[in-house]
Amino acid sequence: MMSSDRAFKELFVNLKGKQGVVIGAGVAGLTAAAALSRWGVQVWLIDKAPVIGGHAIQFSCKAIEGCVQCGACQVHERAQQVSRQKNITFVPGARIVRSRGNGRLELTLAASGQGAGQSAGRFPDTLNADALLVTTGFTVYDPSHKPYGYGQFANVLTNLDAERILHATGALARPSDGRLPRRMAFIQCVGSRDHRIGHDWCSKICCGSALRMARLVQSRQPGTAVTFFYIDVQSFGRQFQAIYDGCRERIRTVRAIPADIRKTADDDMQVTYFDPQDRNATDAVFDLVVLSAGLTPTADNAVLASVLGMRLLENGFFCPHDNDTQPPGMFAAGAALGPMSIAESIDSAGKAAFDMVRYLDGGRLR
Amino acid sequence: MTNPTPSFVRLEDLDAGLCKHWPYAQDVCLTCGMCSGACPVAGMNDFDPRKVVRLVSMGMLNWIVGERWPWICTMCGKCEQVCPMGIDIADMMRAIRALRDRVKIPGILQDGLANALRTGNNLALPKEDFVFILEDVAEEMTEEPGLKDFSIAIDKPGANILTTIHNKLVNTHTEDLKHWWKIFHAAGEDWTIASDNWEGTSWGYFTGDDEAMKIMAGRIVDNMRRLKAKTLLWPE
Repeated sequence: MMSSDRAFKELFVNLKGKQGVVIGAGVAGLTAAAALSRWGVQVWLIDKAPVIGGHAIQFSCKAIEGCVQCGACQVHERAQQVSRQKNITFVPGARIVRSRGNGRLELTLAASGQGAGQSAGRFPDTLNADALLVTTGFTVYDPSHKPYGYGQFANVLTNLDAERILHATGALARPSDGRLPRRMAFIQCVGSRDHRIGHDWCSKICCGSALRMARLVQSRQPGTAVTFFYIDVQSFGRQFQAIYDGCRERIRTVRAIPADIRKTADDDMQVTYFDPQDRNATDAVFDLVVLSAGLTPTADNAVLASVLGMRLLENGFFCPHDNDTQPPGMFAAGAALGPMSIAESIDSAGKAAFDMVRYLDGGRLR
Repeated sequence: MTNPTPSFVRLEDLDAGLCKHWPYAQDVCLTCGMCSGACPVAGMNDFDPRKVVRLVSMGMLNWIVGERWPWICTMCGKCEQVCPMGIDIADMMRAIRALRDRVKIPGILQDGLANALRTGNNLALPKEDFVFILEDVAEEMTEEPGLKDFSIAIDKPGANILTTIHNKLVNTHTEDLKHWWKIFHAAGEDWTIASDNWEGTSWGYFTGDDEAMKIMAGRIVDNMRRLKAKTLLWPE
């Protein structure tokens, strides 16, 4: 089926011999690589990690009674598509250290240092690229400097930590003693919508992912009481209302962000906040606290942008390639552009792949 | 001035221009409530810093100026330390206090400030009484182990440190003087206290009265010059 699809596309364009390099093998990179390959482009899919899938492959399906459109399954599907394509070469554990040329680029690769030993010497020193796509995703904010004891208290996790625990064990237990929490709290907007640290943006995905995770935990660990501390619920995504209606009956929502967490003698978390309903300073005790840590630009964006001669936005994310804002043949997609859900990353990568095809075809395809 | 809680907000009251002379960017408040969560006096008379910031940003300045809330605030600044938008909430509180009619600020602050401007301290404590209290506390200290040779030097010229005194330390909390005097003693510090204008608590600062604050700070600077002290220690 795939080959007839390609044959059909080759009626419109002939991209034989064209090489595309995709940097970052998360959900956006996988999507774009699969799409490019279907148009007949020879794809090199580079990642600094030793495995494909980026952040999203570490996430669990959040279905309770039915699908809640979290997107986690999409990554596995894309990964399988990529593994089936003969004209995609995965280059793990590598990064780009030099880029030369204009139009056809010569890229110099080096070991990323991640998963070192496994991949050393396994990839070519240089690659030629007729077009290049940056899909380097995001870095989760490190909330060590927020007043929540992250890194000091075992039972304060980030959303990403909680995802990893859920994915690995199928349950969300307290790291301190392995007990299943009876009382859980989610704190939103930790390190996003934060002017003081220069993160003025909303991370977009955290309201939906925290609520989905809360419902999943309640479904697998019945009787778990969940409190959701928030500023305002950001209802991005077409399916949001469906999951939100179910949440409001089962999750206690408090319109305030706590200002302090202390540890009790039992390794419980005592959370201090101002309760807008009681109009009073309140301490509430939880077994486990999940911080919705914001999505921030990938730490090495600046280095990569300078190696490639690409532009970053002031906030550190990649500038979109529309309107000739990036050098010819250079594209960016997914959460490298800013916080995005899995579904949005897939859309963004699909569009970027098509933009690349049009570029490689000399702009004839409309 | 009566300021009943408005039951609704009139659109014509929402004049951000009222606040333009305050460069505190309170209009970027996201209403996250961390300020209120951090506030040590939140909940007292329903005091809620988040609401104060909102009232100001909605232009309801006249209402908040007449309220009790700005005077519950201790101006400790914990709110602005946690504020993710970096709003200077304590400064804003002071600016709100400054807009209050002077005869309507809390009586104890009015009286204390008038005393300070007239006599150099908030209690209007005469110089002889002040010196007597300090010497009395110092003498008490010499009875403690290891402090036999402790003494204080008032108005000592050329000392390394000149320290101001919070008025409660020569009123209801004289024991508290001893803690830091012991530290000075153990450190072998060369320190002194001025017998005039020793007040470290500026109610000009707390009431938003810049002119009074300037006068009181100026007197401390004069003490530094007169006594040729090298370092000013101004605990408050």
